[in-house]
Amino acid sequence: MENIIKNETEIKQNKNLWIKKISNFYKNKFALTAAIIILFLYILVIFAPFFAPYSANKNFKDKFFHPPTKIHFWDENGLQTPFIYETEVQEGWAEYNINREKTHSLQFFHQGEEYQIFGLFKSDIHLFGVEANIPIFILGSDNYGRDLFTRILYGGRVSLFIGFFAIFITTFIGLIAGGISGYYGGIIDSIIMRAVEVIMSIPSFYLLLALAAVLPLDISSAFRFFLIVSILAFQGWAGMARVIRGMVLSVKNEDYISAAKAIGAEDKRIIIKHILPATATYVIIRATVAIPGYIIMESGLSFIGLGIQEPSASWGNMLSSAQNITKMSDFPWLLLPGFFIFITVLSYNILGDGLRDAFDPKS
Amino acid sequence: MNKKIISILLLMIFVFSLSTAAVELKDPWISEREQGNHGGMLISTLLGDPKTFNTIIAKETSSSRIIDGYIFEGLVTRNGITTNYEPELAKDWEISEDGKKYTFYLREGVQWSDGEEFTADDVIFTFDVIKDENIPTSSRDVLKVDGEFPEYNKIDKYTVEFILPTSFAPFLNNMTAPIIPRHKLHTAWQKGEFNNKWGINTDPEEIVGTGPFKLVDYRNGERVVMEKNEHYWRKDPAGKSLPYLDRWIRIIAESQETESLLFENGETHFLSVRGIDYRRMKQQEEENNFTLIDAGPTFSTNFLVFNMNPRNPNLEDEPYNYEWFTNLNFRKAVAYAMDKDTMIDQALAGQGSKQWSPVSLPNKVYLNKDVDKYPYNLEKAREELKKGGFSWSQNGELIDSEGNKVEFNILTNAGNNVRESLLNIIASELRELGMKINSNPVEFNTMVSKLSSEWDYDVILIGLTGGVEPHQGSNVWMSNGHLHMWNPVQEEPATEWEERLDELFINGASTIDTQKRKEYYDEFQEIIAEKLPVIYTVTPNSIYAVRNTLKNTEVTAYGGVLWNIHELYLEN
Amino acid sequence: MAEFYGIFTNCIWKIKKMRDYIIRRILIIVPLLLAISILSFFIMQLSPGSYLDQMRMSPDISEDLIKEMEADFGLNKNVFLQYFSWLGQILQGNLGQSFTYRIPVSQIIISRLFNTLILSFAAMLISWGISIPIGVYSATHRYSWLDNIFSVFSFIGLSIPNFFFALLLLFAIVRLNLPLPINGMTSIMYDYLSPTEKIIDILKHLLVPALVLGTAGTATLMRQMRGQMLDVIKMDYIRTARSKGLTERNVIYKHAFRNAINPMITIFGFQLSSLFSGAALTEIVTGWPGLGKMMLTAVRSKDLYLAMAGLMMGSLMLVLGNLAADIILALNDPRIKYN
Repeated sequence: MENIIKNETEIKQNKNLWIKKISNFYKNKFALTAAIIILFLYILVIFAPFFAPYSANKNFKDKFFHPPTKIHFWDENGLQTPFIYETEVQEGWAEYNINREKTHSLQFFHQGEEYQIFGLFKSDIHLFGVEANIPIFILGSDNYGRDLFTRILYGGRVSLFIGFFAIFITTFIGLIAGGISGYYGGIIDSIIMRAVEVIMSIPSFYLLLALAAVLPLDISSAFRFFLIVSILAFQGWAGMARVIRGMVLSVKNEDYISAAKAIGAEDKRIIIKHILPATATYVIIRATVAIPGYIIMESGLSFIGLGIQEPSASWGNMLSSAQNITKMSDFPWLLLPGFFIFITVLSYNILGDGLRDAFDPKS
Repeated sequence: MNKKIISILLLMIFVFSLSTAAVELKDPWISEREQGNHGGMLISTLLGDPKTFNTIIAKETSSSRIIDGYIFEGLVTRNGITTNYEPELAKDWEISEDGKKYTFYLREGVQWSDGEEFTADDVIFTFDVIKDENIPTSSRDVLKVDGEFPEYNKIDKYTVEFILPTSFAPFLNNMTAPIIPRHKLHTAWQKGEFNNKWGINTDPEEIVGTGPFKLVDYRNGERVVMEKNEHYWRKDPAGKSLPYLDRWIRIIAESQETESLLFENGETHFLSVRGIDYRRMKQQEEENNFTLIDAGPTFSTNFLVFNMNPRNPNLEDEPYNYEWFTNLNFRKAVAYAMDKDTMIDQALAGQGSKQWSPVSLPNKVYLNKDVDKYPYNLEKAREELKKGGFSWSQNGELIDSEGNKVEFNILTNAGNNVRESLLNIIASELRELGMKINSNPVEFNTMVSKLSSEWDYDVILIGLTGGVEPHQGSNVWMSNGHLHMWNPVQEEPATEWEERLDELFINGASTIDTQKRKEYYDEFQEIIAEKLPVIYTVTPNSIYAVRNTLKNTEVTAYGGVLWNIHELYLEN
Repeated sequence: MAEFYGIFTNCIWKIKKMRDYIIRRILIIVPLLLAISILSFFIMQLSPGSYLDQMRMSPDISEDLIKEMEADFGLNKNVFLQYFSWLGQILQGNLGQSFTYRIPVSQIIISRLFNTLILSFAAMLISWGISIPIGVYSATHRYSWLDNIFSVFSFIGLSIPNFFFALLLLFAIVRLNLPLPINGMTSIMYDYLSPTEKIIDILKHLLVPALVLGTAGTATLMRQMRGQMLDVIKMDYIRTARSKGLTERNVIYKHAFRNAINPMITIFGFQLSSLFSGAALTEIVTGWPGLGKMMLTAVRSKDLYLAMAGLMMGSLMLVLGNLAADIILALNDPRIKYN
């Protein structure tokens, strides 16, 4: 009875603590902005088919390396509904001039190509678009005349979710391995910990390289994505398991666990109900810090040609295909995927930092 | 006592100088270009490290490119401009009436870079090594005529002869193989250690050739340093020994990006420019004191090949694939769907040429420009498809006469940006025709094994680098060839036109007269363009940026900037 | 001086006491390396095909010759036998032969290993050199505008992929005509330079790759240092020191800093891994002749023993780095028990 009362007050205190932590976090303007940016990016890429005017591989073959289309609000008659000028291919290579005669107004909730979002629902409404077969490249086009904005959104699906799934698997394995290792100890503990040591002792990039070289190239991009995620997770779980084990070890000897054990609670129940929640803060913070690392790694893999393959897009392979001085100086919009990587990674880092500040019991 | 020693020493010096003086160059080659300044250091870049300095076993271009022609030379060579045969280590040669016997008269008094004299023994030794089945070299099979390695004999110190089983015109082409020094390698070869000789860890002093340069230093991952070969047999107009350049440093760059950065930073003397950089480099010409030279299309090719092999293991599941690919109308339709202008614009950044014939565009001797062409025209493509019995479903999907939807894979090797772009463009055009195309870049090894041994592909986009001698393509075009890609290693030619190709290649090889040979190869090109077992796409142009201080250059697609490196000099 | 001597004797005493611990730690390395070698050997075997595949494709090379080479390289044996013969060689100090270069692996790898170490060391100097003072400053001036700016800048370093940052820097050097080299480790005139000039030459070449690699690690370190400092400052003994009337400077540097730096040593071990990994891509872009580029080509061409040697060397460096960190930590922190 005493125990229960104690537990209840503890829960109340815990609740208060959480509220305090969250309000701490809200006070951190940086971190809050970062969180909003990340959320925004995820919404953007999840609903990419809606936000993007085209499908990922739609190309306008004579409009390659086309600069961003300017959206105009004014003409000689004053304020108009937003419109664009049509461009024409000029003599010379990748040069276009604007035809001021031909204007096309921008249509919101434009009816375009049909799409599905994760196979859930079908539609053909795009946030914006232009009548007929006139391209609108709000962020320019790439070397095949594909809309960069569209590809950034679709590529973002890979880049944003690769880290997400990788950390999910990492955490899952890490929690189980670390939890078992810490809770049961003994031989299982030694075996798991030795495995952890082995994996942590191989420089991660070398391991990644050796593993990625195993991947066949002629697999579908979804499967490749899955395999890359598994590889990232394969070498990521070790660090996680080690820390979780440490935390479990220290929690294991707390009074309330001993009490639960004394009542005769099952191991499984104890682990799930008591031990794992104690590691939640750490796991969340760790995840926010690890995801940007995975995003960077994906771009690194793309750079050496082992990442997601064309024609599928990822920010990494888009950026690495822009690795050319001419492209950088003459068609600078091709670097935008790099900017998106930058913003995402930056936001995640700031968010992680903010979470740590807010949730760290020491502060 | 001392006097004795001194006199012995003097005697030795005398004898020694006598022995070196005995090697006198009898037939020097004199440069006909303008007299240049001696001295100076040429700096260029190399993509990737050399793997070995042993030219016989250097399979990879990254190694042979570094040494052949600069450190090692062959009996004959091809002129960098005309691509005609020219004497190199052999000053002259004779071909017997029946075309079976070749006699080479070596240049007398040519020295290896360590001062030893070059003689017929070196030539014999080189071919002994090439003939040795324990040496992994690609030169051996090329030299075989009718499956037999030619007989070769030393006639005297400066004469060697080769006796072939039958008349074989392309033989001279194989005599460009580099000659190696017997005095340095013979013992190793006899001990069976030849394959491990002259690896990249070898003391540069040990590596001895007859070429204009000798190796002085190699730093793994950094640079290859070469110095002038003082004993070189080519002379400038003033009679001084060539090359003009004292040193030649090649910086090892990890990527083409680094190569162009180094050039733009003024650190190197010339650069092979990619199409995408052309326009930007053009703007810098004056400011950075260099000239951009467009040497026209390169020898490289990119083409689609259809699997017309009845032994394709996939045919059990999809027998209709074979029907489509062997349907000439189908292939013609695909040929009409090649939007080569877009390919040049997008894959080659505007710097390329269209290819229609299997002989490389810069081949001045054998190219037949008068073959069937299939300019981009989707309407014509549709007509051809209709003629071939294809139709379209209501959704615009292409259907064959049996009602199967037309769907197939096109593979290419990953890592080759140009080819990946071409594949992308081709796939999107074919989709316009209602075909369902799965396009995939795969690892190079995978692709080659599918082509040469598994035969389980649909369509592959691949390239081969052509040469001047059309017979080099015999294993591609003859029906029993390993690389007869659409249907390799046939026992009997499957079609009449393949039978004709076999005849043409056999005749072409056994005829010595170039004009007659050209007739055979013209017909071969017409057949390929008409029957389209492979469909050619576009070829990049070779463009070089050369500093204006580098003189005597005459850049060509065949020879690049360096084909006459012995004549190049740097302005003071 | 006397104080220094005191620390020194103290260290000696500690090392003596720790001897068993150190020996045990070193002994653990052996089975660890063994396990690493097994894991990496079998990963290398996972990918289909072997080095000889490239040759098989060439119609010029006979099947017999390939069989012979297969036997030569030991590739015709089964994987386990291959592993054990490789292991046997290693135990005799022989890293095997590279298939591509046909020379002993050790001759290729040693200079490369050394170069990677130079680069990593320089990068470490940069990241520690920047992050420690800034971390201390940020902690003592928490939420000041400079603190915020430092935070943002450190995150920027963390947020740009290394290879891309390197390329941007090289691009800037060319465009702005800076007198800095853009490729490799030594300039072409290196052999004619005097020893001091040689060092300067290498340092110049080192600047871009080390900066790229260094800034990537700075953010984490800086945040850690800041956090540690903040923790320590709140401790009782710091308050006591302050209340005793010691100058702020004294409090921070004599007391707080010394205690805050301790946990940072653990990070040193962790940082090594990301350092070697980051080094590989940076090396590729800047042409630094280190292990990274070599590994890439070796793995791709399936030059088995070369790739294995690369993996093992990388792991060895990492293990030794961790060992060093542990020992330093044990030396520095009396609370750690050696068990």
